[in-house]
Amino acid sequence: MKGLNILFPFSTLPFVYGALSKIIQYTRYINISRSTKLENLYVQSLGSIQVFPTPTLSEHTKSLFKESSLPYMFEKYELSSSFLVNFGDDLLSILTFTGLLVIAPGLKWLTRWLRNIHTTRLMINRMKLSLQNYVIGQIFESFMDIVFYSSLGFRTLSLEGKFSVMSFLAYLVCLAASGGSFI
Amino acid sequence: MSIWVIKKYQENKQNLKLEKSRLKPSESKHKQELFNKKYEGLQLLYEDFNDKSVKTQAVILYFGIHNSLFSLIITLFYQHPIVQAWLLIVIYAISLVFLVKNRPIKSKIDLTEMCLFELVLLIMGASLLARALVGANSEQVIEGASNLLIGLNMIFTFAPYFFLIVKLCLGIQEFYQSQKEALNKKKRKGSKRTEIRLVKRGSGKVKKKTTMSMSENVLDESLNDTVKNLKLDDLAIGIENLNSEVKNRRGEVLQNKQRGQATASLKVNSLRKRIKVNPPDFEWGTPDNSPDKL
Repeated sequence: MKGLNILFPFSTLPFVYGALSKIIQYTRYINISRSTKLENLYVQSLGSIQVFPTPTLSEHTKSLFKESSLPYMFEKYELSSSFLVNFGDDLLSILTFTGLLVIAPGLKWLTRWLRNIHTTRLMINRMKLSLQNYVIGQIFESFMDIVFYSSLGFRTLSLEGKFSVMSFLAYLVCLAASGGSFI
Repeated sequence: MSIWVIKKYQENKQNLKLEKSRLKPSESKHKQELFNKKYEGLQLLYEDFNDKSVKTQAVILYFGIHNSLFSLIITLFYQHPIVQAWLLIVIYAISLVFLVKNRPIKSKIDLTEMCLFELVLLIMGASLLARALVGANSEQVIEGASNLLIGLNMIFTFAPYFFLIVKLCLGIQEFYQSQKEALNKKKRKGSKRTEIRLVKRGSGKVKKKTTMSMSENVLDESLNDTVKNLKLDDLAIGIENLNSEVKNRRGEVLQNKQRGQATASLKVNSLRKRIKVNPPDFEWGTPDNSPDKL
């Protein structure tokens, strides 16, 4: 279903749906007893689907961040106390698309410089607009994650080592960026 | 950014409302199109929502708050599942009431979809509360509530596909309707042209066809203005007037034709008379400078 976001970058609904479906999945972090069937379903839905092959954080990079203990409900589903370990993959995906967005005007200029074909320019412009909407949608969809992982990060805040500081700065920037995109 | 764009949109809408009396409908539409083009990259933030006011259009902000509150409830109150369940129920109930009362989404089918999702979340909240209240004591309740949650999960997974198919079907139907309408319009326009086209006969030998393209354009323009500015009753009167105008024009053309024919026949008659009264008095003979005379 995540593919719908890319198919309809100008429509808000797929992104709203993406955020709401996360809510259903995140109910696993509520500390109440459940049946084995439901528990299995929660474990199965842990992996995230990648529509576009975007870069991800390697296990080695993840191990560099300092881990602190989290409440049982969060540790049970392999959540980390570091913001960047939890949100790193999504952040890289957003950064990749933002990078493409930055490249788009350059491409437009290049086509004008090489051979001024109206259709190519129009296509690049369309791509740029779609990307812009998609990035906004992605930020909107990830807002819940950003708040979730940053509150977990605040719970175990320690600024020891450059990776911890980097993680702290990352969630400050993400909170400011996503908050700014709404207000 | 979303509030900023929505405020800009509302300002533009207000300005268009104020200038409504001064601007033609096509001009105000053009201005709206210009705004949409300018903020096309941020269309996602305002386009799908009802533009009655900032309150109804800022849906994305509400969903942002809704989702972040959920995150905060999960991470801050993890030791109190009953409080969590209650707070979630309150949030979903408020969201559902907001959606039903304000109808902030333009498309009815999208609104139905969103309401269904919120309802699913509300039921999910209720099942969470039931499980939190009984704790680990009643296995039957836990099993039932868990199964309900699995079912809700299934609805959440497959409902978007169902709505997508419905939307596709509606889109195809709409496309078919528009094509049909366009074809009918074309047919109507063709019949109107043949009605207006008048055949003018020339001096007996050549047939000349003259289409009243000028008057047709004038009629079209005046009809457009009438449609845009007048109400239905006035429109009916306008159409009657236009019909009478067409009849008058046709009469004028026929009169001109008859008059033209009459003057032409008069001229021919007078010429004939002149020829009969004063026949040319020339002699059938050789000219003075003919080589015979010389």
